[in-house]
Amino acid sequence: MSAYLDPQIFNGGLTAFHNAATTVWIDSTQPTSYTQATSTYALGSNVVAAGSAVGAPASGSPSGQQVTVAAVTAGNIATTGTAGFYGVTDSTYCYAGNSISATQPVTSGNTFTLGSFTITLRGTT
Amino acid sequence: MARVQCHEEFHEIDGRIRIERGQTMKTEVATQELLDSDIFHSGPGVQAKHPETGKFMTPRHYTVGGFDAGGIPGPDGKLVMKPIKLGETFSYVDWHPVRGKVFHVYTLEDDETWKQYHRDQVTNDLVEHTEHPMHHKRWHIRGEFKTWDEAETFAATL
Repeated sequence: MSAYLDPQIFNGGLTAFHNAATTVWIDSTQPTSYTQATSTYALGSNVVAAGSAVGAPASGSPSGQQVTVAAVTAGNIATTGTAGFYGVTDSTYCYAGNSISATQPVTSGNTFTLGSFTITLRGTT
Repeated sequence: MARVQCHEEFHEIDGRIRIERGQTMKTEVATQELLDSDIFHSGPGVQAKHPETGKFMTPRHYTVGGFDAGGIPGPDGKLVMKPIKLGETFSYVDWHPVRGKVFHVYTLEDDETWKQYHRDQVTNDLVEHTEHPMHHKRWHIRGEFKTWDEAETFAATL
């Protein structure tokens, strides 16, 4: 039998994510820490004010609760490479990281765009 | 020695060494049983045991034809991601909270390929920010350890 968890439990973590995150990075390799997302594997970044990078929690699809990471319209590319992953950070934590929908070669000094996407804490389905 | 505790599992020492918690990345030959989690488990990030072999499977997003975690060095030595093919090596992150948990030790190295930019207020162009302390600097992984103490001991030798 699956346990019942109130959405408030999901929202606690997602609200912390929403309140803290400032930067969306694109990376060459799956990051699993702040240093990897922001330097070791980083290709470029887009910095905004805390609260603007990640939206407030809402009902998830198909279940649970989710947040939406805002689209990036003019991120900076710091080094040439092939982007395949993203990381979302503040100044010390990498809160989320995963693959992007398709790999993309990028060139230092150019800008990048990234469509908005959701991160979901799924429920039972 | 100047130590900055960025958070409980992330310290920076003298501005040139970092110890931070991460997850281990594994490189193995792709087999169907390693990739069978899509059939046997519904959790997207869970590494369940294969019901027949008892071996841990990869998270379900690692599939034949899908991309790996980018942990395999390419011809230029940089890590690259590649499509997963049965019988060929691929990299994946072990997200298990105990088995996959590691501590990485990093050192700050010169890296001419890494540049800092700022946006010119008038032209809106990106301009190299050569005075930025991280211009031409990048954190490189120097070691991976199962415990914090092991990582600290190694960091002390750098």
